[in-house]
Amino acid sequence: MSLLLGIIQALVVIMLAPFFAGLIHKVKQRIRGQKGISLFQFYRNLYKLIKKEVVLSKEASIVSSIAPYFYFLPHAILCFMLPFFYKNPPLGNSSNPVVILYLLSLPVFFMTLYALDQASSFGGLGSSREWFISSLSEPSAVLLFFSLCVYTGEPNLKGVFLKLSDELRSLLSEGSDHFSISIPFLILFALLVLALAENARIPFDNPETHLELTMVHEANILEASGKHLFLFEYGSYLRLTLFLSLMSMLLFPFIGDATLYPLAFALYLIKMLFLCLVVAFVESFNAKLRLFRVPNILSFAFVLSLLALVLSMEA
Amino acid sequence: MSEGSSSRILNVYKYIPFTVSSLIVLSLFLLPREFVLQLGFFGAHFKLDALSTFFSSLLVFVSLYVSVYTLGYAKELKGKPPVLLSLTGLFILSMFFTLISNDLVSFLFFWEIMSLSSFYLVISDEKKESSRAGFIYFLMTHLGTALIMLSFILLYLKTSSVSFDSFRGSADSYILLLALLGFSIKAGVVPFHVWLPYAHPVAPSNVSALMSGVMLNTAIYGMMRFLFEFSSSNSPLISLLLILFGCLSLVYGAIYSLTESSVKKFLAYSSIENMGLLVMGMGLANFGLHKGVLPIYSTAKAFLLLHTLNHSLLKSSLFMGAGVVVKMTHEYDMNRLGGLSKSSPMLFYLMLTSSLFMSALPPSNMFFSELLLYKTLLLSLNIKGDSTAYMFVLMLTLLALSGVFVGATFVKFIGVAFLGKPRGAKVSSKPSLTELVGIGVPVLSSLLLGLYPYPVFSLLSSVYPLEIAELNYVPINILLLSLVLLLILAFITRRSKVRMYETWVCGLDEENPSAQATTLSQTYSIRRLFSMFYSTVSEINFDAEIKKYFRSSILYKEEIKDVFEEKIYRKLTAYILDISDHVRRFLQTGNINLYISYIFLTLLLCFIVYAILTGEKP
Amino acid sequence: MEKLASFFALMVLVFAVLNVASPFLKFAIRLNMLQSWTLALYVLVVAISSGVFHLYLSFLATIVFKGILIPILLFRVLKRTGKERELDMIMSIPSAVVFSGILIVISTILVAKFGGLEFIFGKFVFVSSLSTFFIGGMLLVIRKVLFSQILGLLIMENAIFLAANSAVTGMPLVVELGILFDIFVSILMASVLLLRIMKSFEDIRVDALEVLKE
Repeated sequence: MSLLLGIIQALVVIMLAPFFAGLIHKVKQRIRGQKGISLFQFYRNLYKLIKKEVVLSKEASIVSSIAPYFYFLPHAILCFMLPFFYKNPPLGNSSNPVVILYLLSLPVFFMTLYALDQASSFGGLGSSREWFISSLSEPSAVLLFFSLCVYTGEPNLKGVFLKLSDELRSLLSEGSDHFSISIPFLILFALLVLALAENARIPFDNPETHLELTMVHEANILEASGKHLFLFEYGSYLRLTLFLSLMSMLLFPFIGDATLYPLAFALYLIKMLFLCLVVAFVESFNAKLRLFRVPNILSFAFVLSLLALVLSMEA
Repeated sequence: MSEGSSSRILNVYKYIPFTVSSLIVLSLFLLPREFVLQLGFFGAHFKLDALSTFFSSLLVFVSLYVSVYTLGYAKELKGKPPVLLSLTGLFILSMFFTLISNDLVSFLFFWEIMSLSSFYLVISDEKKESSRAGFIYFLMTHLGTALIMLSFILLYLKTSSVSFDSFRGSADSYILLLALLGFSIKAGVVPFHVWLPYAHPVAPSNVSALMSGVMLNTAIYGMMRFLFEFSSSNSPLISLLLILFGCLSLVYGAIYSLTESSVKKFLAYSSIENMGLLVMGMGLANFGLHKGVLPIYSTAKAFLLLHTLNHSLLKSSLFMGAGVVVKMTHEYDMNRLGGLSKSSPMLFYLMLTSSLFMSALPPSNMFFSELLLYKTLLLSLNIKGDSTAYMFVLMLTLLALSGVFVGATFVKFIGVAFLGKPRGAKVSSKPSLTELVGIGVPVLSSLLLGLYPYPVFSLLSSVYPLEIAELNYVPINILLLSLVLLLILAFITRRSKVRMYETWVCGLDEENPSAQATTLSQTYSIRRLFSMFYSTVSEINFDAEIKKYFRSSILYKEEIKDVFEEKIYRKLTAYILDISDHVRRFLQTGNINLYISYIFLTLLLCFIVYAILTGEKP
Repeated sequence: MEKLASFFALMVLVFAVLNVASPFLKFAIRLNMLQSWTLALYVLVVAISSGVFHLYLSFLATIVFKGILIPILLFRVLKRTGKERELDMIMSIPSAVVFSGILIVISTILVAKFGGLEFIFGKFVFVSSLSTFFIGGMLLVIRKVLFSQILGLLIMENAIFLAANSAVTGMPLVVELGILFDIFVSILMASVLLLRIMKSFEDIRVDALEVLKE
């Protein structure tokens, strides 16, 4: 039973990912004064991509055929690892922070290899920039996850979020004073910066342009088409959803068991909608940064997560 | 000597390394756990305890498949192949005896043989470049040997015994420090690494595989012996130093292997990085002992052994692969390679897998051992009320940073050398079967280790007792789930067709292979951000007269130099040369009378020293 | 209450770090204003939890002087100098920010070594003020435009104020008002000086002042 509920949770999150990405897109369009796409447009796009044929470059090696799968799979596996709203995810026993972080960089490895595979002169740009951003965000992400682990004293993220949820519940019911405002605040803020950076969002990258001077993510997958593009696109929606979900689990940690399943899900949905709005607003009211300005923001996020770790070591 | 007879001789000699390794395998099974070899008046003691057994079995395994590789690679050897091959055998044998020695004399004897034979192997192709590399190697490795010898002599004076058994728990911290310094020169820990990026690439590839895969392990073995068995106390200062130098090597190796464009030199830098990780792990284990927190100690130790194993497997396979690449194209520079995935798919698959594993991405064996290190760090961070814990914050940051660098390094290697279109180098031969088998064995065993870490781990613990804390990582579940997901994906996308077409070139009709990414462009952004760690010289040349945007040729050259070599070693050498010049002018006047007086003065001095040392005994 | 207080103390530090990360002077003044406001809120929390009356006055004074008057003054000076953005620094911004992270760790270690100090709301408030102090000092060193020297001084002053309110229940009101007035007057004078320098040298960069050494 608990396995089934866990699998349903993962599948629901996987199915919802294009919706969240579409929502952000729509809100951005509305802010710009456009009418905006339908909320389900991204599902239609994906369906269209599945049906289309794949155009492979003559220079392509096996990397071009396997990289899309290796881009999609780790993200999908991560959906089975985290307790988004139900406390027993099927792979919860593997949710070591390091496993999660490295599973998040496995897709980057394959996507950047894919970029170099077709002898295109654009791929190199994207590949180089992707690692550049990664080199700045990874230390911050490690510190952030470790500060959560040190703060709660749990070795894996499933335990961390369950404990945070319990803490909140005991705070609400009994007014216990083992909680912290500062640490979740710092981590949330740093995570927001990381989510924007790792998902090729403004101010780091613009997901909507195809201009080689500005793009990072798009330059990597320029040659992809058909089902390969489907996998890359779906994978990137999942990546965005994962980062936002991590934030949602910190925002108001409430993780239910079997009886509270619908309630917890509704709460998760509300939090995700809120976070989508936040991301859309941040994207709308900021200009894209020059590439070498990016370290300024990411180094700030790094100091925030460092501060969070220092605080949780003190607590 | 005619062509035919020399190849016939080679055909005999190329079996030497293989024979030696198989002999060692036999001896591992047949030899008693402890034995004495009578060499004239001196009896050399050997003992196969847990640590020795682990390291020597690793040595045997690596040298077996490297020997198989050598069978195919022997034709490529330059200089005098018969001498080279016999010395390779001697090199393997001396490493084996170093690892199982149980007294200081035989340890130092075989250690020296190991250094000398590898020295010859480095300079074997008789070029100017390699003799310079060999000279630096010779100098540094003997500096290390001198320090190790000094620490052994001090131990001997303290315990008045030569046996390792009596050294247990008697090395004070200054002896320990000397020995660790000596071994870290051999391991290539920054700032004593200068020899490594020169010596490893110029040696023939089978030898580089052995040097990086096994010889560095002997240094790690020595450090572990001293740190965990001979040392009398676990001073926090030693942990601090180990962690500091480990961090330095880690970042330094990662950052330089990222920008290096030679297919073998970047692997040498990557070895420095991994040695840094191991030294860091030793520091953590020592810290655990000092604090009395056993989980930290045991997890760190498990990390040490597993990482040594993984690094040996992967680094030797990568070096052998790089050797095959050089053999196929006669080109060291990645920027002239490209498109090798089509000329030799099998080699490409093997290199792709080992690069993926080397980048420590799950579910690889390297990932498992790094996970152990992260676990140790998490355990150490949980210790409250100790300001050394902030040191671990630094370690954590650097570990993550170097992890990204390693990933970028191997994407660069695979992407530039194997993918895309050829950038100029001609492929003249194909890899032979024995070479591919030699590379394939370590890759397959790494795969096995990565997918089934726990059974292999318990197998390892039967040789060397190990315990690890709960890791929260079950690779087999992840694998099963990904298989299921793959099936679903295959079902969803079953109807899509594939069409081959040209790469999009932005509407231009020319095809220009040099428009692809190079090592320089691939690392430009990171290099610019971390510019304080490099000392670079770059220049742009172009014809000044022609229109600004339609230049026919632009030459961009960038040279990245080793910061330590530029800032420390070069200045130190200049200083020493200066001093010796002064001394020479003062001492060496050319007057024979003066020279004779030197001899007498030395004799007199010897008498006086002797008198002082021995004369005043009560 | 304690959580809230340490949160405000944390925000004082975060604004200081953000100040290092931004090359825009206008934004820097705004950050300084926000920092002063969070500082005032911290004082308010202390006042409420300890019930000391003069802390309320101190809260008001902080808001009025540091939160409103000084920023208005600075904005006007900035407008008259016309230099809104600071381009050159001794270090690059990322290294400066990472360096401020190192300063935070160092001050944490330092505070752990200090014995015999008693804090109202835990050690962290003091850690925060100490590292804010260091970061303010660092800003003085690395920035090349005279204007941000003033900002660095203000950050350092905020840090000292926070430190004073972390250990005991503030300073006596007279002393506090005196300090506030001092700061106000000194900022006033520095601004006048800055404008004069701008007028006669047409630049407010620090290295342009090197010619004055004779």
